[in-house]
Amino acid sequence: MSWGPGRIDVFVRGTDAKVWHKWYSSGAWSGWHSLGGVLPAGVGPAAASWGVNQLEVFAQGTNKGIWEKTWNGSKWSGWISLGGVVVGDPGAASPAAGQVQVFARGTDDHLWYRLYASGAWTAWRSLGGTLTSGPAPAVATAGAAPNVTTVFALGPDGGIWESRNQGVWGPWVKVP
Amino acid sequence: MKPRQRRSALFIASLLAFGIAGAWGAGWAQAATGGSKLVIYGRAQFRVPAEWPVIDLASSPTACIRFDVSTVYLGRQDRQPDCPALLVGRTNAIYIEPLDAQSVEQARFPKASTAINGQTVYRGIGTETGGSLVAAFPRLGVLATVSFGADKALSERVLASFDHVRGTPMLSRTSLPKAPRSPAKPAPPPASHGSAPMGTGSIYTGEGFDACAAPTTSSMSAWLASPMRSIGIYIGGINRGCAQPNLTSSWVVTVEGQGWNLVPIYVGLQASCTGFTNRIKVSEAASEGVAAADDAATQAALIGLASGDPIYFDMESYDDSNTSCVQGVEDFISAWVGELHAKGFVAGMYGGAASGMRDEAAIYNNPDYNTLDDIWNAHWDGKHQVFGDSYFSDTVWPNHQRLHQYQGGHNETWGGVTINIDSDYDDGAVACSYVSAGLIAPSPTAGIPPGAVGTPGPRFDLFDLGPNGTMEHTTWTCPPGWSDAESIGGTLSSGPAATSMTPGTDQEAFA
Repeated sequence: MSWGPGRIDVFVRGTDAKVWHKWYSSGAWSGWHSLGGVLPAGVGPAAASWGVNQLEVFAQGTNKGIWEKTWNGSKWSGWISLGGVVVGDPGAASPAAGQVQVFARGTDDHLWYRLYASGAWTAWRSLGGTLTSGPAPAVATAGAAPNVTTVFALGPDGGIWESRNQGVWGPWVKVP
Repeated sequence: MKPRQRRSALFIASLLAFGIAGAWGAGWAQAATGGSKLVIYGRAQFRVPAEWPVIDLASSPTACIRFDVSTVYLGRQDRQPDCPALLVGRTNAIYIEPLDAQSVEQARFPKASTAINGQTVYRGIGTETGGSLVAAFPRLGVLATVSFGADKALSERVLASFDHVRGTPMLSRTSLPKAPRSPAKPAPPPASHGSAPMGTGSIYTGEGFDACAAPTTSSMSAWLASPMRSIGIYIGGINRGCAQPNLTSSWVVTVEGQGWNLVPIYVGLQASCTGFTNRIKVSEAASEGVAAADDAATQAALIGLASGDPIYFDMESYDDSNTSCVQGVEDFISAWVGELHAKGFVAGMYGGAASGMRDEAAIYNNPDYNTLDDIWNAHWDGKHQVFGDSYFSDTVWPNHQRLHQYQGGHNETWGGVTINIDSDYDDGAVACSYVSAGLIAPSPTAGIPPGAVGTPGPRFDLFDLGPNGTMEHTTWTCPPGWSDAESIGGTLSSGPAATSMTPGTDQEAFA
């Protein structure tokens, strides 16, 4: 993911089950750095940024809950539990400055999410649907209008479905 | 039904206390010929000019809440209103409804409250350009919409008279109810997708209608029995005639999800040579056009419409032999187009074939004016087509840029629901639905999530692990909506991830 021009951050699960991080900055890629943690086999991390020098990394832990680690511009926090019981990889997006959303497929195959805003996390909330993959959220700015957030995921028919927020969350519809 | 019970409870003390000679302020005596009267709705009381009729929506559930006649409307409307299809014009009127999660979506409100007669109140932000004062009284449990045309001061005085009815219990809450964050139950993806909606992004070709008040979502569902798949919605403007209790962002996403295409209409100042109260001042037409576009963009955003969506300015018929009047319209619309473009919206105009349409066609290639992107031609000739009008040439707006209103107000019944409508045949811009059909869908590998990136526009790019390990790419922008999925090659062994460093100029996909 990227917080702005000239910067890319990549997060992956290493063969040691830890999260590894590398970034592209000033025209060059860094080496790989470990961020620790223990991720179950077959799942990977997700990341979002709500501004320059802000990184939020999310991953499923061995307790099947979501864990979060934050870069505040000078140092990494420890891994913090956000709870939940999820399936597969989470997704993360920043709908506005100072806000981060984490999405995950629940054991009921519904999409669940928590929003960090005004310095606090909301509780987990269901957005319904019948997911057969992890979620892929994205945010697009829309001129004078509020930002549009959408979450893509595979549905039971094997196609890609989305639920979009243009003020409120809309119904699940198939792409395209 | 629950809402009805709640409403009758609110009405315990209502509708009984009219005709009490008023303790009006000095201004009232001049404004109201017959003095004033007190109206009580639940815990709230207020004063209006004595001659204003009062309509109780509990006993007249299908009354049309219209702001073009001075009337008091009380209650919540949950039935299809009996409105004429087209109401343009606005004067002083008032609509009081319960303050709850639905009504609070009528406006944006500030964080901080103020007070009227000691009562906590939140005043709607920026509603004046659209000809309304909106006030939410959490301790009285009511939301008031006071419309005005030329006389804003009268509506301010009505609002300033709001008070608590002595002896009724006030509510304890001093904050506003929260608007719903999601529809009650997001529909799960069905196993098969047999009834694909007809929308194809931002251009819609086919039958449509417009109605003064946005129908309920259940009425819209019933009307899927019709061949129509577009509906004109009145999003704002000082001459918008009907109240829009249904028209919220939840309504928009629900109705788009049902498969409807939306045609947003804004009814602002009318031509200077018409009989409407709120008219263009020819010498200030350009700045008035800018203000209308700014407000239209705000109202559009409030219901979840975004950049790339069209907004049609409703310019009712006028005398186009009046050169000053024509000049005012042309200056106004040119400014409307320029400002809407600056806000990222597609600029349209609804108008009579022999006035607005003919005049705009005459300056189609004139570089002194911003050209409309789309027109909506009102010519009730019964023809289900967008070309071949006798008043202006087929060479202007030739490329899927036209809607045609071919029949005026009449009743139609579909799925058991009767609505008074104007009928349209469309081949032009409608609000960008993200629902579409008839395109090549991606074929993702089971269980592998796609990668997505959003960029300004709004635009979404979607990458997935397609057949044979190649990466597939699909994109949504407004216009034209979703693209066909295409393979962009590679041999992947994982799901893709995507990002953008400088939104709008680059995208990176990883796998």
